[in-house]
Amino acid sequence: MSKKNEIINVENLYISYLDKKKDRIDILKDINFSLNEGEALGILGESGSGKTILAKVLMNIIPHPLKITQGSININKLGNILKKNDELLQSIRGKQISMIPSNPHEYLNPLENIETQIMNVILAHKKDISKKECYEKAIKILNEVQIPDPKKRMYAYPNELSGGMAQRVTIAMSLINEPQLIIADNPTFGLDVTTQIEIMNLLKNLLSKRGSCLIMNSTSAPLLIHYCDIIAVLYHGIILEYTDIYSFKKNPNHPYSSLLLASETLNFVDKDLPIKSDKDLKKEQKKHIIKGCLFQNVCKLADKSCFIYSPKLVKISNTHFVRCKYYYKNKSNIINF
Amino acid sequence: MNILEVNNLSKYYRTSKAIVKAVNHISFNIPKGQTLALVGESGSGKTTTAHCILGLTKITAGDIWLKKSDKESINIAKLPKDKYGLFRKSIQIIFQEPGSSLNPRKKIRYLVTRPLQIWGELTSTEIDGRLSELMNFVNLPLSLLDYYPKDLTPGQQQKISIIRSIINNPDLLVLDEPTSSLDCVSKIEVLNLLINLQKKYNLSYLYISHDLATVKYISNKIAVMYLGQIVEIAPTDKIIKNHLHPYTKALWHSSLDLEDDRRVTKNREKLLKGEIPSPINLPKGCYLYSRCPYAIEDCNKNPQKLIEVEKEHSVACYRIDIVKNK
Repeated sequence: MSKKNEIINVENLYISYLDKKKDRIDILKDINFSLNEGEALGILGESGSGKTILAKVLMNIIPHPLKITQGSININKLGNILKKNDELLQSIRGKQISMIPSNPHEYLNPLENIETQIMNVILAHKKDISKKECYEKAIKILNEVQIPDPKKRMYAYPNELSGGMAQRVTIAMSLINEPQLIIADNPTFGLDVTTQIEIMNLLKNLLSKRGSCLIMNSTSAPLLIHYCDIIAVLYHGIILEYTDIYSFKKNPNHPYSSLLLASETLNFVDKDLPIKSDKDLKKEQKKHIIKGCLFQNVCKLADKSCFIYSPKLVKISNTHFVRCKYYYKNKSNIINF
Repeated sequence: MNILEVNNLSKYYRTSKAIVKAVNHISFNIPKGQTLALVGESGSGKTTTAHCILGLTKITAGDIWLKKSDKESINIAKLPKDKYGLFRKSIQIIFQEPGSSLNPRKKIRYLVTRPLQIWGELTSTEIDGRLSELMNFVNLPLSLLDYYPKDLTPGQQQKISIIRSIINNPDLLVLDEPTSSLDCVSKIEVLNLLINLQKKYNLSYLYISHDLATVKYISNKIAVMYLGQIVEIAPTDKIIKNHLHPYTKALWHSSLDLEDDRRVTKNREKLLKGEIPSPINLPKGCYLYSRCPYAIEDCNKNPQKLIEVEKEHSVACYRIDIVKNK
């Protein structure tokens, strides 16, 4: 039995910035995961949970006030990309790792046509390619992403494309150099449900042909359950649950995960929810000051020790990790939907 | 009794080059105390319909009857603008983004009591009583009234805009995607709140959304819209069990469900191909012709009409007999 290749391995990653009083504020805390060849990881979280920052950090794009305080991101054959200089990173991005953005119209250059933009991606990593070869390669990839009449569409500008078409173009651009890892930052944002499925089916097919890894952000639990193998639930920069999709669907062990699933299916009784009513909530505290579990002021199960000790990610089975102390104590307390 | 009856409503926008048919001859009615959901992709005319009912845009053709009681009814479509006050009190709207629909420079107390002050029917002690009753009902502490909108979470903001719209005892609430910008905790709370309010005050809702899970949860009747037309209309349980129009089928199969996984790949032939046509040059025949897996050439010749297939269940499709059996 041959061991599968490990493509990416993130260890103990902390991203933070200093505020006006020079206090360290962590945006991402204690992020650990690894992915093998051909696997897909879904990062599930609401807006503001740090999904996009995580996606950017994986490509070593770190927006200004943020700094890496700890940790490493090891990528197959490349080593720790957080220690590479800008020149090396330039040759890695788009070739080894590439990104599918959430809003394609914002990402494509409005002043250049599709042909120039796709060919630029090829030429940036391959200097000795002839123009004709390059053109044919671009046509081939546009055919693969099922853009009708690609020879005509090559000369279109981004504003002439609909949301679904523009997203197909960005998928083509991210796949053209056959990268081993693709990071999709909420790729279905702003698309209609019928287009969303088409795009995701297409992306999944293309990736399974190439054997590339996918890391995908989304706010929708069903979408990730359908298209990923592993799910990480992110809440204010912390992974609360890290598991394969089957055990996530059947028994989510963290109250927050079961809440996320309940809000999608909506088949529950009012009293069963693991949340407090709004009246019991104090005024929202800033999350970095909070001691103990971050989910404390919403969770119905929280007791005194939840306000003092911050829980650690606990291994339940080989593929299932949870950051909640109630997993030990009284499992029946957590409601499964 | 129907609180609202919409007959052959149309709304066309004129641009310099062409006419955009945003809403095209739609009819429906909402019984008292019930919820009708308008479902469809973006650009299908859901929000335009809501704006027509609220009198926010001028209507091209059609009638909108608001029936306050058996004797008293108003045609909103034919009403001159200076008499809009007649129905403003009975129809209210809750917007998609609570943050941008509350004035950031006013305190919550002002925002919530403003409708009462405008109508001027209650004294200030009565206003306070009504306010504390409603704040209790939506589970918000009274201390919130002295905050500004920015101090509240989106869920609380949405609850405030719900209070603001029901404080004058309206008959009909238009809910324009009220949960789409909320996080999961407040989404559940707001939905449950809306259901409880409906029971208590016997409100009628027009619920606009593209999220089928919430639609199933809240509505009594569903109307599916596509390019300004209603293509299928039926009670919720009927449409869940037996959706007939190809577009409704596609919509159902593309909304992902937790229950049976990877269903999408199995049922790919039921999905639509291509993109939604532009509403400027609409096809002559069936609007779904270019995307429909069941289409034949005849579909492209004549425009289709809603046909009643069974009781309370109407579908606009020529090939309904063939689609039914598949």
